[in-house]
Amino acid sequence: MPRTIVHVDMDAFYAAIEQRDHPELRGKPVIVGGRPGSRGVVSSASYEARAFGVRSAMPSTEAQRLCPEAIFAPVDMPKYAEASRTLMKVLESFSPTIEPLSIDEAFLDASGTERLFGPPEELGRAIKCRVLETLQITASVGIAPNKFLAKLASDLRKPDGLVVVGEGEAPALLDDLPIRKLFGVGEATEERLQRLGIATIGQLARYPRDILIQHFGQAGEHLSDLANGIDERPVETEREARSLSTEVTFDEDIADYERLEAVLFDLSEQVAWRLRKQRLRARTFTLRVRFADFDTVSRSRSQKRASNHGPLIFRSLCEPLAGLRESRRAVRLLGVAATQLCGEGDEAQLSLFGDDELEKARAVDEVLDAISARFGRGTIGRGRTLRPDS
Amino acid sequence: MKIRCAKDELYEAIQTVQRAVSGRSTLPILNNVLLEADDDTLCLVAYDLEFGIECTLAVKVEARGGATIPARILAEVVGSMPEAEITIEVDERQVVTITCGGSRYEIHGLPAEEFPRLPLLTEGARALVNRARFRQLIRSTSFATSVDETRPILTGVLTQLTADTIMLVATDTHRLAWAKGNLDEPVSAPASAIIPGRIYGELLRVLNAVSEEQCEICIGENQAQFRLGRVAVQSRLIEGEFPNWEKVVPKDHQTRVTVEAESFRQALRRAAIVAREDANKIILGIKDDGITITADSQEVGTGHEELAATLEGPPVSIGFNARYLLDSLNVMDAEEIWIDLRGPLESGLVCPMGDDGYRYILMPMQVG
Repeated sequence: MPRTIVHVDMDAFYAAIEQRDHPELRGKPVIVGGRPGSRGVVSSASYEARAFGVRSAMPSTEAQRLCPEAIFAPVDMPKYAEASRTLMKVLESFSPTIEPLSIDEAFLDASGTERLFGPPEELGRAIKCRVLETLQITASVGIAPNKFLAKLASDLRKPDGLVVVGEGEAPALLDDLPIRKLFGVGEATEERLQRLGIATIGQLARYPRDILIQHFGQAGEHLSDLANGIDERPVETEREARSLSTEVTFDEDIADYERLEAVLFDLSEQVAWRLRKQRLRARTFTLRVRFADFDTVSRSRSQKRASNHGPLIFRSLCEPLAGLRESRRAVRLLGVAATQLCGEGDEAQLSLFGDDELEKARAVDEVLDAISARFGRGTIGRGRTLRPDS
Repeated sequence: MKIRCAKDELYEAIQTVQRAVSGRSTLPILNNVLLEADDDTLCLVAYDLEFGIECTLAVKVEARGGATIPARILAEVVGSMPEAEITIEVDERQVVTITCGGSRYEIHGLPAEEFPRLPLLTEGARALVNRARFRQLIRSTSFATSVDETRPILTGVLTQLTADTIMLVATDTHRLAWAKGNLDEPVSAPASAIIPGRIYGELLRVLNAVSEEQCEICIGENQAQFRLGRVAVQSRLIEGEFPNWEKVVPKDHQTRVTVEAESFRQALRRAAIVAREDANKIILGIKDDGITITADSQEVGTGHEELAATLEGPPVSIGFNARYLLDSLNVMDAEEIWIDLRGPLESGLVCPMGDDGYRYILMPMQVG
């Protein structure tokens, strides 16, 4: 039974919200992010600004050089977080199986909703319509039998796009796409694939699987599957998740382990925040590292007591990260996963010392969460999360 | 160095010190045991920089000197030798030759000079305590230490020597175990130290294995040392301030229930089978006619126990971690125990009848 997986991705989310709220900005290149000269970076650029080559994560100063008439707007996280909550509510009305990926994108498993919303095209139009009605900004939607194709599809006709990939249409869609479009293929892998004479996803799909495995190990298998449009990953709603994870793929591979440590801290906080949001704790935390050559390693650390405290997760995963440091290998992806989850209610044990450090740590978590809930994630963090350039 | 000795004596000494061999050290030499021969004794030392054990053995010394040899290889080779005299000889290339009858093993060692010295205490507060008493003090407290490495202080046992008493306290913030006993000889100066619970666990094995009447305790600036005849255990101290435990000891109670210890323990063990799927939570129902223990797990089912008990004060219903209660009952020798309670959200106090030297305080679990 083929699935109906929907990927919804908002178009230039922050910039679009600013244009919505400030009519004078509409039709103009708008950049949300740090001011030029402030060492800040671009968080989001309107399509008008993108036409000049402005991209997110680019230093604002460079963005201004590329697009001198760009209008810079400061990041208004509370507003975007509020819009994100509204967005997720709208999406939930189409399917209860929803997996938010970030503040402005989500997967939905809409299998079996045909009778309610009609065929995929109609479903897609309905979603786009409702998002526009409710938020007055546009979304791009991709619908396909799996997550990989759905995400790829939503990106094809951005902005305000709708692409439906039917069963059997994957080869035609993928065939001529550059391998760079493949989930997880960055510059280094692209180069290695090109050395094998592979430039398009179609060529990769037809390439002998065993030779790919020889070259890339397990990742070769995964690459071959994706190139053939095969992706069995389910849409995981957080409520039923047996594990919870978050990861980041770097634009450029990083070999500076101090920077990686800072990223690890951030990821630990994110996982802890998501655990707390769902009133969960986890006993085991896993560090996932994918090196530039696609070799991927996982290191798990288990605690006697389940936790949802960021610094503790960070501390437990610091040592395995330090262990990889000696190799001096550049890292393309870093991830943190929490498994062996249990409800916070399982921890009804009271403490003898009311004012102890643990209680203080918990109190800090609660304050952080309250502020994040009110003003949006990213508006407050521990000292460590702040970096000089952000 | 060249020595001769009986296999079983040597093997016993190796097994004693081997506990302090670091299995995960980045310093290869710490995986070794140091052997040092002097006049008529062989001294074996293992040390992981936190915790060390030294054991001396009367042997025939033919040549003085020292060597270090991988602990596991030494233990396995010596352990599998026949019961006979063993000769250990070290040459200048650090090759340790172990011979016994027709067996001859040449093991690569490392120079003794490279082995870190055990910081033996020359100064500090000294006291003598009866071995069996010390063993019981450790056994009845160290289980309550925390395993949470993020709060090192709580992984240790507060150990205080004052005049002629020794007092041990351990807590993981959910429960606290306190034990006090007399010293055989008053301490030279009052002293207080936090000994890692792990090392007390190892010391317990030594206390169980030896036959000496007394244990000499010496607490120094940042080390503590426990000597039992030819065995000495050395521990680093945990730095920091132990939580103010005195303030959590309940000073009063509303309800006191007295119950036969063994039947209470057996009932708790059964209830814990069901409770373990539900964070070990059990409900104690303290009533006029006795105690009920109820375990209710959505996944497993339910368990119910009824026991005779004597009640003073109003009835109360309170949730506890069954494991925490059992931990204390497992180390109490009294036939009867009493539990003081002050309400369902206040700490409870568990005491062995007729023993002023032990108190166990535990916080309840929230019910519902």
